[in-house]
Amino acid sequence: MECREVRRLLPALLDGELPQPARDEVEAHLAHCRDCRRVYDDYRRDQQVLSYHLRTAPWLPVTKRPWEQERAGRAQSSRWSWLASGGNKVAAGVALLALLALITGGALALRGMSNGPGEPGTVALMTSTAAGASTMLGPETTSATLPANASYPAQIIAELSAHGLAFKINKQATIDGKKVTFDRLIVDRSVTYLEYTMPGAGPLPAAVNLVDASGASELGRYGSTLTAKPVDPTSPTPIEHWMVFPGLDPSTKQVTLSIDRGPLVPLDIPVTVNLAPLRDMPEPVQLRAEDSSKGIDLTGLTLTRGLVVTRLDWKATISDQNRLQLVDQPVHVPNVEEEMSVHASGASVSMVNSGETTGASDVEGMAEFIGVPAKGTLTLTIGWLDVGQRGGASGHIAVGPWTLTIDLSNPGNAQPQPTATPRIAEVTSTPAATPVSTPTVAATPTATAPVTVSSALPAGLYFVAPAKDGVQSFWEQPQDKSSAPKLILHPDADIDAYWPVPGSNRVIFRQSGDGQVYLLNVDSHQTQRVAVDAAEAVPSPDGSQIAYISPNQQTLSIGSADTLTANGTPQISSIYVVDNSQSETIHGLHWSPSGKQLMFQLSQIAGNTVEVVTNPEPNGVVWQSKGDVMSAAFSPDGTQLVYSTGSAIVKVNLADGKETDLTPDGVKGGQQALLNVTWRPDDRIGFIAHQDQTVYSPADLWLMKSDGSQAWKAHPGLGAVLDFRWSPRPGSDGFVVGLSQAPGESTSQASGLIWYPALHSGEKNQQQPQPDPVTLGQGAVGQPVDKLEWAGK
Amino acid sequence: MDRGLVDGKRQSGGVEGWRGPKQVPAADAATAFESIVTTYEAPISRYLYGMTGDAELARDLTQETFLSAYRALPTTEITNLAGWLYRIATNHALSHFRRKRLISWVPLSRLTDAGHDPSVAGHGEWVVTSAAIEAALTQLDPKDRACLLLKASGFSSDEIAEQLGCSPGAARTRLFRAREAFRQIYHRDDPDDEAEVR
Repeated sequence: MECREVRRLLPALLDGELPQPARDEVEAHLAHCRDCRRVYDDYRRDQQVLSYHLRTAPWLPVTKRPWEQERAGRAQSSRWSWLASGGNKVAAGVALLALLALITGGALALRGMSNGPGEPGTVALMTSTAAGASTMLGPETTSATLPANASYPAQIIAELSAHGLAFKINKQATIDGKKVTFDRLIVDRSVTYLEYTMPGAGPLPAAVNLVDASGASELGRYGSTLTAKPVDPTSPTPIEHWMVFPGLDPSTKQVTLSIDRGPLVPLDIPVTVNLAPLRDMPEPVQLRAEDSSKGIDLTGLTLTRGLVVTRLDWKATISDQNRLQLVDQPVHVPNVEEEMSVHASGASVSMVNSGETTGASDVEGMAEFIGVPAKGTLTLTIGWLDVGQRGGASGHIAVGPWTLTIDLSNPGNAQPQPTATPRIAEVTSTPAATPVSTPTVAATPTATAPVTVSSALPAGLYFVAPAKDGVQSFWEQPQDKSSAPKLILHPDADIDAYWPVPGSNRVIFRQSGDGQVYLLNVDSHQTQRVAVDAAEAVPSPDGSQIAYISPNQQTLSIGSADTLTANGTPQISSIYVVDNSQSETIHGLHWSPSGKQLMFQLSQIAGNTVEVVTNPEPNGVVWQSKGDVMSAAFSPDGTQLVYSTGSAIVKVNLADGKETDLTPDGVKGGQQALLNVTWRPDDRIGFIAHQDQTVYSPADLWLMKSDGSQAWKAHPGLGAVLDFRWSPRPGSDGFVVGLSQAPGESTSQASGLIWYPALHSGEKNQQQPQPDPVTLGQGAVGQPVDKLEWAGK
Repeated sequence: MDRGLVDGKRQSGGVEGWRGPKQVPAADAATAFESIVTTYEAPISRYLYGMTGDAELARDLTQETFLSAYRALPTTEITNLAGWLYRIATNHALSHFRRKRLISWVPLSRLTDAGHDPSVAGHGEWVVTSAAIEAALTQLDPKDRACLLLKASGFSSDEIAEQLGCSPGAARTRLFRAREAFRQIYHRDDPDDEAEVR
């Protein structure tokens, strides 16, 4: 066995996960190879060091118990309702027994932990024979049945089946030693259920992805299987379970259930569906509302009507903190009985599901109903909102109520009903003109005056953003702004870099799992390993050469474009090697526009610098920065460079190394972080000034001429910019930004990709209205959106 | 935080024929959950300290972890409570890092001699100091750091995959790279340690 192979297997050996005969072979190699033995000893010692670190780590006991407020507060809440379905205390006992048994099992699973306060061994009520020892545990029982009127989700599934929306799967599989039968897939407009039977307690010990024809996949929630009955964990009888996914597009004809069974090959089950009955349902409608009295704006409202389930998504933003009425103990909320309730005129509506996520300045929620009639009004009343910690108040509940009244025949034009309680002032809508509506980001209506700037989005926009399961995936935004982005690649582990190959339909990418580079065909979605082992592989602007950084990030080499897929050992020539003794590494490679020079970051113990070297040597290092560089760009003719130190913008003449400080007065000496430096073809230099050092703060786009004159804040208020690209269209000053996650906000439906067709405060045409910015990918792509590239084909 | 589905069968107004469920006496649910907190408070807090290097922050994240667990517990069937709790804790820690990330062109920036003082240890000796370990951990990507600490907490590669939300293959590869990265950083100044991958 070669050292290289042995090194890869050492972790498995250390963890006791290496099977024979590999184990014998590795141990034999270690007996005679001093280097590999040293590495293995290091791994072993490091593991002990980290264990020791955890065992001796300081820790502070929790001082607040916010879950207690939840318990006390939601008087009508069903927090533990499944334990007590049907008011059966016996069932509660069984379920709690299951829960407590898990504590023991879970505690024993903690290995390598020393004893300390509150550690395993101190919880005593663990056996099933402890009945009577505590009022919690009732007598033993088998699983109880649901009361007849408990409907969710069994009743929903029955109704959808009656409409022909249940699709047989009938496939068995053994997963983790359990025999699982996947029974059916049942679909409504906004929700999809997967029915399966399995003995004993769930969840399914596997991740299930629901993959549609475009390759977009939705992950069924891990461990959030909903069951109809409280489960007797000791019973071997198969029990029915459901797993829930978001809804499918009604044009879907086939989906694949992809079941990740860990070390085994994934099990892919194709399911043919016919969602024709859903096509008659109205398209999801966007509603807009504002509140003027209680400090909360209800926005982002979307009503999705399905055959059985109707879903309302909403977002409550704090518009005026001073108007919030905040209380500590929700149970004493004045004048408000319930947290949320729904009423429909002349119909019997039930809320079957709801959820909220509280962010720093907003609350996002959804609610699902059944029994929503076709006509009449639907009234949703939100009694209070958990808005997190606010100002000086120790409490975190904002008191409403807020009432939203929707005219079901014409939800776009719903009007508030006058009542004594403060409510949403207006409900207006932007009716969907196309199947997927794309509301604009700007609060003001889109200008109807003629625009002189083309707002068309140039083709070939790629970016990295999370797929629904959170993995950073690779997407393309179609030229049609209202089209959803296409998921081109959903890798096993986050994509952390990519480089389009000019003049082709291929992209080189790297994923964080293994640090290797791969070639992706964006049309066929096929991938293959790049023939050269590399940490980075960056094509030259004309696509004829590839610059490679070796896996240990110490050597920079150049090869022709053929080396990407060559057989055998591709010919590459090294043009730069770090000085090893200082533990330096190189990364962040950029070509100059002419292809004659390369720029990269050099990481040393003392800090990071930027180097510019010529291709090919022998001219060697052309320029080296004196200190840290946060962002840099070549001039269009490649003779100069502009870079940011974070607080200053500096221009460098590469021929003689002369530097000029270009930092505009408006940002000099401030706290702002100056990043995303660009040098446009029209010779203007741009950068983004972030208000502080985090990725969230509001950001302004600055522009100036390349001599530093005429510097101005070209577009203020861009939000939390992570990445920025000018439009490739000649003469255009449009641009696109990728936004990062704002503090506290969930990765929700809000998209992080925004197209600005022009600078909004137009320097020349102050009078002329400019086209509004457009949010791309709403509902399909969340945040953060990073690594934008425009790559023509 | 995920916008997970919560089985919120709230009492609906104006509804005929559908009744909400009855309530468990608050005391029973309280005691059950309190046991979980008492049992896991210390290990989770220590794990989060390993992730963040800040005991107060670790405590705040621990509180958030238990709150999320409390909310998800009623509608979740759990076979591996410890694994599940650490998953939530990891998500909170990673969210925290996403919020606090300093914009940098370089994913990892080296600290200048942080925690290392080769003059203290004699040739061939190795002094294990918390500062040195923390300094090494800080230089890792948060997910790599999580991998190492979860492994040191006793979880298997498959459990770690679930906790990080990736496939087991990706978890194993990440674990390999994280261990190698930690080894290189932590043993950087160890004069005896010259083993390099060729």
